[in-house]
Amino acid sequence: MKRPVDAQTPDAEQLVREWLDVAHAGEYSRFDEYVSESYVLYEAPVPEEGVAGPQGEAHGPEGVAEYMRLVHQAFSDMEISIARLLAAEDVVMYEGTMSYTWSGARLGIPPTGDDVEVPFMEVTEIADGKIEAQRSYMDRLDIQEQMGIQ
Amino acid sequence: MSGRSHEEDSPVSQTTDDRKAVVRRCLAAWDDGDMETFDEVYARDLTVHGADIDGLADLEELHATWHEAFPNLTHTVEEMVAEDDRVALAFRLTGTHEGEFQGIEGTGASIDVAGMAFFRVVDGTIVEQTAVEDDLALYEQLGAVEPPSA
Repeated sequence: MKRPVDAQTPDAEQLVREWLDVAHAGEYSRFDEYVSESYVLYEAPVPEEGVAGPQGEAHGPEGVAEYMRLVHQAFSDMEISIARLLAAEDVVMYEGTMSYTWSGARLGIPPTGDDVEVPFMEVTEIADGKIEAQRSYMDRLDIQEQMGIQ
Repeated sequence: MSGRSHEEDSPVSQTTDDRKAVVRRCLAAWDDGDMETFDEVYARDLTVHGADIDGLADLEELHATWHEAFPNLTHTVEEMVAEDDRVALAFRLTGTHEGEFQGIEGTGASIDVAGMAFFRVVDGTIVEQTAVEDDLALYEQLGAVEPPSA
């Protein structure tokens, strides 16, 4: 786990920034250009049903495409803004804000059209020029409160 | 953003490794309840983003609340990257719920919550801190809310 230096490496940063754009734009056919076959997304809201991997995980380019399709069905006008990004050779960590409109059924609950804006942070691990793992951190209680669920 | 009052050019020469060490000392102070170190690693007028915390006194109060509720509180570092005066951290927070927390009496429940934080370290002290934790996971583990899939 020892890394040589914490120098900024534009390649890792660029890969991650492009991946976030492609993922949130729903360019599913390009997902395998950015994430490896063994890629795992760790994100608490990922459902067990309909997404490759256990609850809270999406496995491979297919799994994350299945998950992002569900996300796009429920939420529209999704915007990601990165406030700060720190990059090492094989890991990129960033924080920002995610905003979207709840426009489709989610967790069996009909949409309210409410706007949600939530801070999030992520760690992305890179190996052989592709994203190997992505851990997403957000406060689901905050999100559910904004959606009027809790 | 009162942290901006601190000069960008630190008079004390510090490397990114020094800044990581400050963050590690900070985590140890949280875990051990070492308030002397706690007061050393945090600037008195630090800014905590995204939380209702105004300066070190408020943070000390939060620390006391957590320690009464989870006396064996442990932060485990999963990933850390430093660049310039910023340090990003991914961690797991574990402990046993033994005392009252947010109106919930001690349940004896074990908690294991993942989180991430960003710090700004100037002259060997933390002047800015932003953290994201999944409060829903925490409350689920305390039995205070039903998991969404139940």
